[in-house]
Amino acid sequence: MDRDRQKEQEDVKRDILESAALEKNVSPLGGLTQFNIEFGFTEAIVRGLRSGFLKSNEYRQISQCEILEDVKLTLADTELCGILQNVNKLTPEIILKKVEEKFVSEFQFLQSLAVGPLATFLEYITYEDLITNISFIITSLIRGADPETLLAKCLPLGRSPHLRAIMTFENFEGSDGLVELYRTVLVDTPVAPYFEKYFNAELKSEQPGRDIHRVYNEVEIDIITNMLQKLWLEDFYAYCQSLGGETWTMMKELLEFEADRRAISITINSFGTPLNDMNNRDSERKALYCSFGQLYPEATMFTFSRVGDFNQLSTALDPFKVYADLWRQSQDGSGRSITDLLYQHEVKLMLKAFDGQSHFASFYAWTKLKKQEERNLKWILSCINQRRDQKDTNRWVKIM
Amino acid sequence: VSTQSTWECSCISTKMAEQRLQVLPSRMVLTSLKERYVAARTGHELLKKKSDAIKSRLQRMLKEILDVKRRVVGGLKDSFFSHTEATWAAGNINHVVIENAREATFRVKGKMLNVAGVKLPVFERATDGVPARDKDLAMLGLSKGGQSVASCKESFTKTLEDLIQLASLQTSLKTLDDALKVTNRKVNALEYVIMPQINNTIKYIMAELDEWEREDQYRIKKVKDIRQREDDEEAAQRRAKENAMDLSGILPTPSSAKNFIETRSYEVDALMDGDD
Repeated sequence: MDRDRQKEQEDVKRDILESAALEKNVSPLGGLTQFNIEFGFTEAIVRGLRSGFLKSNEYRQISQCEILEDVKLTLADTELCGILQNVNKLTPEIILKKVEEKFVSEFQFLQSLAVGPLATFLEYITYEDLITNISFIITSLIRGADPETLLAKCLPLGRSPHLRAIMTFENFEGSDGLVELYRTVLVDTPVAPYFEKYFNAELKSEQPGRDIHRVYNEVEIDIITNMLQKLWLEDFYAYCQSLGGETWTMMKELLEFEADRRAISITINSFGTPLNDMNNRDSERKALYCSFGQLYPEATMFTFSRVGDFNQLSTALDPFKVYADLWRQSQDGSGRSITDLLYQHEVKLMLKAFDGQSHFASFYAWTKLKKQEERNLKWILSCINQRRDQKDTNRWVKIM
Repeated sequence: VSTQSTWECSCISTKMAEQRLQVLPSRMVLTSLKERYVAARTGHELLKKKSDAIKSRLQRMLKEILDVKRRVVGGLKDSFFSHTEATWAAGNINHVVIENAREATFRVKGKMLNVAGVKLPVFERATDGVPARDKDLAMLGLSKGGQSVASCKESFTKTLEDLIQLASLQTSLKTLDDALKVTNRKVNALEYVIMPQINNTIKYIMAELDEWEREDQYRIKKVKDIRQREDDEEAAQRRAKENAMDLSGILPTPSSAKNFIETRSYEVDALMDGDD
C-alpha cells in the first residue's frame, strides 16, 4: 500500500516536472516573413480544423432527427463520423463526451507541436478551465467528497498533473491545511500567481492560515473562482500585449469582448443577491470586473456602481453602441436572452479572427468556436431526448 | 372490491345464514338476543354511513390525483427543459451543484389528518427550521448563465411541491382504500351473516318456546283428561257401590241417605204423608 502511494507520488512529480519543462519565452513573433518558421505548421493545422465545424445544414438535419439513432446516422456524414463507432448505448451525455474527447485530443495534438510563445499561448487558454477545476476540487475535498470520482468530473481542457497532486493532499482540516496546500502543491501550478495575488489582497491579519480558511468558508466558491479568472484574463491580456504585432491587434478585440461579457453577466446575475447591495457594489462587485475592455473604466468602475436592476443597466449600456444594440434585441421579445445574443456576437467576432494570417488569434478563436459547437450539440441532443418541438430546438447558434 | 365481497357474502349467506347460534332456548337468552339484534342494526347503519363518507372522499381524491398527475408531468417536462437551458448558458453545472450541496433547503413534514374516522398521512413542505437561502450555491454561474440556473432552481422547486402533493395524495388514497375495504367487509358481514344469524336464532328460540308451551298445554290437557276419567270412574264405582248397598238396606250412610232423600224424595214425602 505504502509502496503504491509512493509510486503514485513519484508519477505525479514526474508529470509536474515534465509540464514545467516548457520553454516559456516572449520573443517577437515576426510578421509575415518569419512567423511560418516556427508556427506555420501548427497554424495550418488549425485552419484545417476550422473546416471541420458542423455546417448550418448539418445542424438542421440533426435537429430534425426524432431519436438519437438517427443522430448517429446523420453525424456519420460529418466531421464527427468516427466518434460513435463503438458506443453501445446512446445518450446525450455519452455522445457529448465523445465529441469533447475528440476536441481535447485535437487541442493536445496542437499543444504537442507548439513551441515557444505558441506553447505559452495555448497554455494560457487552458488556464481558465484549470482554475475552475482546482476550485472545484478544493471545495469538494473540503466537503469531504471521494477523491477518485472528482477527476472524472473536471473539465477536460484544464487537466494537468497538478490536479492529481491536489487529490493526494490529505490535510484539509485545521487552519493550516489550506496554507500547506498552497505551499506544497498550488505553488507549482502555473496559476499560482493568481492565487497569490488574490490571497494577498484578502489577507488582512498576521495569521495567513486562519484567514485562508476563513476566506474559503465565508466567501462563496463562485466568487473566488471568478476573481481568479479575472486575474487570469488580465494576465492573458498583458501577455498578448507583450507579444505585439498582428496577434496583439486581433486578441485585443477578442479579450476585451470577453471582459465586457463577463462584466455584463456578473452584473445581471448579481441582481437579487447580496452582491447587489449598495455597500457591496463598490467593494465586492467592482473587484470582479476586469481592468480592461470597452466598458472600462467609465462603465465598470463608475456607472455600474449605480446599477441595481435591469433598467439602470440598460441606461448604463447606452453609450456603448454594440452592447446597447444587443440589449435592445434581447428586450424586444423575440425570445432570445442577452446570454444567447452575447454568444451570437462572440461567434461573429471569432469568425473574424480567422481573417488575416500569421497570428495566434486563430487558435483562440478555434477553441471558442469548438466550445460553442459543443454547446449547440448538447442543446439539440437534449431537446431531441426530451421530445421538444422544433421551435425550441432551434436555439442553437449558427457558426458557419 | 365491494362487488367481490358481496358475492362472497351471498355464497356465505346460503351456507351460514342457515346456521344459527347454539344457545339454550330460554326467555333470558331471547331478550339478550333481541338487544344484540338492535345493536347490530345500529352498528350496520353507522358503518354504512362511514362507508358512504369514505367512498365520496375517495372519488374526490381520485379527481384531485388526476389533476396533480397532469401538473406533475407538465412540470417535470418544463423543469428538465429549464435544466437544459441552464446547461446551455452556464456549462455543465451538475457536478458543482452535487459536490457543493450541504444542507437541504427543501424539507417535508408529515402529519395525520382524520377523515371519517380514518387517520390519513399527509405530507407538506416544512418551512420552519429550514435555511432560507442556499448560501453555498447562490452565486452559481456568476460570470455566465446565472439567471438560467436560478430559474432552473425555481422550476424544480415548483415541480417538487407538486410531487410532494402527489405523494401525499397517493398515500392517503391507499389508506382510504384499505379503510373502505375493511368497512365494506364489516357492513357486508353484518348484513349477510351476523344479523340473519341472530334473526334465525331468535326465530328458533321463539319456535322452541311456542312448542314447549304447546307441549305444556297438551300435557296439561291430557292430565286433565286423565284426571277427569279417573274421577268419572271413581264416581261410577261409588254409585254402583251405593246402589248395591242401598238394595240391602244395611248401613245407610249419610251419603246414601242424602242420595235416598234426593233421589227418592217423593217416596220420603209419601212416607211422611202416610204418617198422617
